[in-house]
Amino acid sequence: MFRIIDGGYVVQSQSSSINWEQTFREYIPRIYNFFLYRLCNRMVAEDLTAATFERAWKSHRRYRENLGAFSTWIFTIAQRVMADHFRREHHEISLDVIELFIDTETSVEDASQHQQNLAHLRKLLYMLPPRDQELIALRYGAELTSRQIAQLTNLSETNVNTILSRAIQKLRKSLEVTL
Amino acid sequence: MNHEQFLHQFRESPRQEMVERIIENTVLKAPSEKKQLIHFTNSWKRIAAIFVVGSICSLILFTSPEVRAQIDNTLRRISGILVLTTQILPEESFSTPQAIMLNNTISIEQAQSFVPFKLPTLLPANYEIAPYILDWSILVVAAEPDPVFQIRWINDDHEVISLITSIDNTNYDPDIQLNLGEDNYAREVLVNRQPALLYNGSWEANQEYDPSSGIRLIWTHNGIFYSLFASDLEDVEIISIAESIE
Repeated sequence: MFRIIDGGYVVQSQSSSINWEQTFREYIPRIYNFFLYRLCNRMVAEDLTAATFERAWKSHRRYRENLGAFSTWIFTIAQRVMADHFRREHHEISLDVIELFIDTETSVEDASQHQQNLAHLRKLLYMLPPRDQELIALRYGAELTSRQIAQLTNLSETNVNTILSRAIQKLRKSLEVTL
Repeated sequence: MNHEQFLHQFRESPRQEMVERIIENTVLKAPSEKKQLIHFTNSWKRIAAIFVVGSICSLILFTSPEVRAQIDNTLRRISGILVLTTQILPEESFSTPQAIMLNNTISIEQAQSFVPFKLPTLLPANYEIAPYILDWSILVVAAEPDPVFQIRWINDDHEVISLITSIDNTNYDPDIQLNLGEDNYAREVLVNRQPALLYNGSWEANQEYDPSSGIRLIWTHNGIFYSLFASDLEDVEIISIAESIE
């Protein structure tokens, strides 16, 4: 069943069955961490997260449940938001401005070491090829499955697993050598 | 820590303030009255714009014979369909051949050198200049001050083409109302890109108008009024003859 809404869009009334607030609350942390893993900057990650959900909300009436999972839809929007960001900023991120991640649950003594380890790891992540960074951000930031990542990136599931495995090994070796 | 466990350590919860702001700016944000008003206003603006453009187009179409003739001509060439037809009302007549008084006659060579235009160069096969009265092929009437010429061509089947020219003192306008009768119609065409009127029929000797008797094309060019008649030609043929007159 179709109906006409503002702006002349023809949408399926099915989309109204989604609890948008609940779904957004569920996905905001995943989108945020996707940007955080990819861009290494909290402030930018927050801005892009907000931009993603605002863009999603503008077109939410066009979303059709029967055509794909919500995660695929929202992460496709997130990827476009990030592409726009790179186009604007030319992806000129200096390693010096990569933020330190502070684990608030660690003790004061451990905090300094933990900060340094994480900062170092962020630098290593940043030095990976963009495609590997993207896959790690989707896997560990957004917590998507290999199948979902494969759908988003047009890679095969096997290919996704292989690339991720190699990237992780590379990171671990670099981390062990430098620590 | 397994081989990928360390990568999970970077995850962190977004600030609650940011989450609430996103929810507030999206899901909880109802369309404001202002936004609805803008939608409403934009709709009316679109309707108003369409109305204005439509009115202007209609005005141009109904007041400009050049535009109508151009559209007719284009459509006729594309599809052969005539979509614009000018209904002629029987209110005012202009001079017919029967109304012209014979005053003088000259030869065709004299006529050609006298008139500021060339006689048609394109005529259907087998048509020859026919004697009009006695041995004269061109009839000139009302020689002073404005001569009116008439020349006729005829073929073996006695089908006739005739051309009448005069100084354009009729203030001819394609919208001129001709006394053709209610059942007849004229259509606007182009002769050398200028608007002209093509209509069916002719006046018979008894000054009765016969709508089934041939077709006539009238137009003006450089101050000369032309009236070309053919008893058995198609629209395209008579227009071609007219366009061959310089």
